[in-house]
Amino acid sequence: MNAVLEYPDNVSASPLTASGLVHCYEGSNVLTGVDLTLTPGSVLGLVGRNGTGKSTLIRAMLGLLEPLAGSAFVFGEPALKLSDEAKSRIAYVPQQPEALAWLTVQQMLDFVGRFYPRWDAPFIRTTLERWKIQPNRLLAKLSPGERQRVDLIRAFASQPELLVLDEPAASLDPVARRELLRELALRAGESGTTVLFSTHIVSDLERVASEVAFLHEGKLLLHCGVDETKERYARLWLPAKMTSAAPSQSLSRRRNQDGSLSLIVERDRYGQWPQASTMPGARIDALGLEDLFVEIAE
Amino acid sequence: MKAPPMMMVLWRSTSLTMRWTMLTIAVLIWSASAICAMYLHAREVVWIAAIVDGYAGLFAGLTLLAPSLLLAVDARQLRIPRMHNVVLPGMIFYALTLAAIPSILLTLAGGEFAGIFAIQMLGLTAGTALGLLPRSVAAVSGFVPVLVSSFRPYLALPHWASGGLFCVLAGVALFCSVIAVRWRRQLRSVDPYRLSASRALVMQNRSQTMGWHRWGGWGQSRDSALAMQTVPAWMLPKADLNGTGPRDPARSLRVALGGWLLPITWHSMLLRWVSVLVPMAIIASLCARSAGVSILSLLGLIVHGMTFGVWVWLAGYGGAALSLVVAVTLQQRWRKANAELPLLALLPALGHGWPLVRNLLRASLLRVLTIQAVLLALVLAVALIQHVDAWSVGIALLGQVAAAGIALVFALSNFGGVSVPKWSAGLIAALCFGLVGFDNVCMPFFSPSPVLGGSSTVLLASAWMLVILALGWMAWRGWCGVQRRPHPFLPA
Repeated sequence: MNAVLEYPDNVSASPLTASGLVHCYEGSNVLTGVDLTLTPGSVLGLVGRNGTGKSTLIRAMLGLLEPLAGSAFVFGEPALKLSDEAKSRIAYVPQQPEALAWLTVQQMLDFVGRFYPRWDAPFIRTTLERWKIQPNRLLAKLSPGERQRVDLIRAFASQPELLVLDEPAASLDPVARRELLRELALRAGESGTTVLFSTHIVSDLERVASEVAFLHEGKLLLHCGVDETKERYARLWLPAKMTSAAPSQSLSRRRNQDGSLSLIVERDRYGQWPQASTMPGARIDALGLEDLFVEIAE
Repeated sequence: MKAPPMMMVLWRSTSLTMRWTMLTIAVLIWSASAICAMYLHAREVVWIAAIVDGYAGLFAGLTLLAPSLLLAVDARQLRIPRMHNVVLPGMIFYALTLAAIPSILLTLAGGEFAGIFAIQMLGLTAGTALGLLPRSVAAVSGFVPVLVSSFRPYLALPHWASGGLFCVLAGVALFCSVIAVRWRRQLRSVDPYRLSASRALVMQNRSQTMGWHRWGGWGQSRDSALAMQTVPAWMLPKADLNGTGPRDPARSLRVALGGWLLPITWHSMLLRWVSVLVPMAIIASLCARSAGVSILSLLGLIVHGMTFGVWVWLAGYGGAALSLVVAVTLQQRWRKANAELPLLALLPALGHGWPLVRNLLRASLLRVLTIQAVLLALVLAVALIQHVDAWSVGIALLGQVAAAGIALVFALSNFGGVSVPKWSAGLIAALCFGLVGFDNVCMPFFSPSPVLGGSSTVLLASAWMLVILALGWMAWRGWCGVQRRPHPFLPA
């Protein structure tokens, strides 16, 4: 982590910043130089296929693993050396949480709550009741969905300024998922909590996220506002005889069986599609978020 | 299927690391014992070599033969035809081979084939039976050296002429019956993969996190969180959260690390002691009644009759077992990225830098090292009272230091992110328990004079020194890692 000492300009303003993060597992690259900055109060949905490094990116950004290169900052502090003050402003829920299985729900929440200055005990009582979780049950005996909900309660109860959730809806039923999204929207809207969550479920992202980031093959392919994606990105289809005119810059490129070419292209800084889109026979298709994700990830 | 490929099925179905490690250890032990028997020219030495080989056979049975059950169970569950007909003959072939090789070697060194072969079969069948019995039974495996030492005056060597051979063969027959019953029961179980306390040890050790077809669970600890799912809630210890919080980070860390380190309520503590002491009291009272004395007199007689060897065994075995419990707990916590590590890494008010590491070391080691110190003091006191020779005291001391070192090594390695193989805890345990067992060759339970001469004492002391040096080197690597890392809650 040699880059910990270099502070990028946007570090102090952003709750969470990653710069040039590189990491690999058993020789295969998972992150290949990822830059990502969260704007305060935003809800960023991180999407990508399985194994693209979403969890690794989140963990590296929070200082839960040492990346091979690059740096991460939380509230302007190096992620690997956070102060207590910074820690008390963060809440993180891992994918399939398994911590403290030997405690009951109530014991775990009591224990963790002693460390947070703004612990919201009444919220716990009402939410446990609303989500029908018995406080005296041992965490080890809960189903994965119940376990995830308890950990979400733990995260919300600390009243964080930065909430990081790794696949929070993966084990939840549709009702619980809807409740989670509502809570997220409420926190972001009313308290100004900055949220980063990874997901496969694009509909969740459309419902709650203000920004979206696509992680693909260890790289962040795009990062923009959710509403912006439809305007900014599209599929450019070029017939076989015109493929030589295809722009060199594109997010994805796929040759179809008939020789035609499908590319995901972006408007330039003047708001124009690439030159090739104006050629006769070429076609620009607007894409929904899910289609865009599939086109890029395929 | 032809015979050679049929035999290879079983060979290939064992864990790669385990089969080569076990085979290497077995070959080394066979060669060493044969060389000793050949050059020491003493009849007694051949039998001791045979017992040592039999001891190796016990581990071979446990780690190579018993896991055949996994193949048989999987084959049955997957409805693979004729597989069972491959597994059983394969097992018998390997058992006979593993028994025949050391027997032939020791016969060439001047031993008696039948008796040596019987000892090897006893070890192999005992090991296999142990692997097929529930995990709880394996806990008593550490008593094997004690039992051998205890019954040594009453056991005859397995000559043709004496009744000793039939005694050993009866043991082999008993273990074979256990194997047959347990094999049949496990194979025909409706759900052999279900977590339960009565499952065979090899089924328990099947890795829970690596997919059900993988048999790499040997030498790895069972995940304590998963284990809790099979235990009724009322039997699980209840955490005592009094005093936890930012004011006492070390106690809070004990809560977060769980397992044996978890502070528990008085009620849970009482329940735990009652569950251990009541059965012991019942056994003691039955023994006292049959001997015609009171329990207190019996206890007095036992304590008075305990030789230094017994104390060394109790302290060595108990100390190493306790350290391993801590080592395994820490290894489990530092292996999971979605459990306690992220929680602790982001928990405010736990401290930073050296104070945090100090609290972490206190939380994980203080209790176990205090117990080790008490055990050591006890051993030294007994040595003083019984006027034990310096060599024996030295060996006992080395054993206790090594036992304490295990916990320290695993703590530092995990906190420092030094990669320690998952099976290393098992290997170190086998090494320490083995050496504690051999301690009783120099310090027998019921005799003040050692079984072997002074050279074996030197060898044993050297072996302990080597273990301590290796542990010291591992601890140093761990400590360097601790100093290098920005915080200790990063996965190992």
